[in-house]
Amino acid sequence: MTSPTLPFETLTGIFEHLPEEDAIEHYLIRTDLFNCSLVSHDWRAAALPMLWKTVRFVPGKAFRTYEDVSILSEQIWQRLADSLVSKCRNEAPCQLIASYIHSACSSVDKGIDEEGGRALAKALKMNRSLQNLDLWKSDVGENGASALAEALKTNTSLKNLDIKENGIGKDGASALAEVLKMNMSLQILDLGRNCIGDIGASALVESLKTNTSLQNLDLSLNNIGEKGARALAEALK
Amino acid sequence: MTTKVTLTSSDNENFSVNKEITKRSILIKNMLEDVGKSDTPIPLPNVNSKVLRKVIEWCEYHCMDPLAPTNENTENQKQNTDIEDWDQKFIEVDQETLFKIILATNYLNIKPLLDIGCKTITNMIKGKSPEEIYKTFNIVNNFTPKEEAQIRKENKWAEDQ
Repeated sequence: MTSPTLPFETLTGIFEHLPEEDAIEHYLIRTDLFNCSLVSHDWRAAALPMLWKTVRFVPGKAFRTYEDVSILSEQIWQRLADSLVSKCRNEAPCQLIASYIHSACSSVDKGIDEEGGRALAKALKMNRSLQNLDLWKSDVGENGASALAEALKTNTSLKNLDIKENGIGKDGASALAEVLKMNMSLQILDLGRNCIGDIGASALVESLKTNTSLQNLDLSLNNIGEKGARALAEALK
Repeated sequence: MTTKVTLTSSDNENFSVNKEITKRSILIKNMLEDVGKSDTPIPLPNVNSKVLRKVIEWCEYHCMDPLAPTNENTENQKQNTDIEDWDQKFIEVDQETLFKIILATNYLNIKPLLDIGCKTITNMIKGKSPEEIYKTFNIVNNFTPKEEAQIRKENKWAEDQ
């Protein structure tokens, strides 16, 4: 006899009752839950998002994790996004989201998976707990920055966004600038090394006129010429 | 005066149940609210008579429980897999029936009974290796060889740390 397949939410319910993590050095690993993730596709899809909520990665390891699971279907990412929406009341690990965005955006570039991008935007829109999002060197690109901007229009929890070295360019910067006009939660925005140029800088200047929450904006190494610099100086008077 | 509601199982057996008791199932509660007064039996095409009898038995025993437990309570009890004695006895069934009860309560939306079923499975999982888990539940490991290799790599990575 083969057991009937349990629906996703039931598996999640079962896994929620598994014991809390055991601490192993930097890592908090839920051994039973981890074993469940190795049982079958269904079990893995339900266990992974929960595992990632509690496993803490040392910096730099997160993307390796993303690569390790990328072959195991887009669905998992989808569900991960869903679980961010519904489950993460505690501080969500930002590295995890970073790798999610990474996957969503690289797929968008290939034109395969807009679904992933939408799922991400949805996750950020509804998530009320995440405060820090570090996307340093994540290849977010113009499209990714625009998707992110879209999500930030309704997100009210994020305080610190780091998009250093992501090639978001002038269009990405303009999209983010547009959002800064209405987003009142973001306090620190790091846009270093992004080639945003004069156009990007001018767009940001525009938005700074109405934004009251931003305390720290890093625009280092962005090919901002005299024109952009002048506009910035003007805005900061 | 107690009103009765008739429930029809997938194998066409009729169960006449006290209306208040059927309200343990959010699905049926909502149906009754939508339909209003009606003597038409409620068909439950996803639940067979054996399972439905068990579920009704549980609902009858627990008829005095408060309908909606507070959220804080469930939050605290998340990692607690203790099951009350009566429920423990009640859920001691063969695995096929256990799975069917879980599926039925998921469909009928009877959260406390679903929790008991889930906790029972959780207790069966605890401390087992993935291989022991397939065996316990007769689950087919549907990873392709490529995925298998990838998982092994990942597994190793977790062990290395």
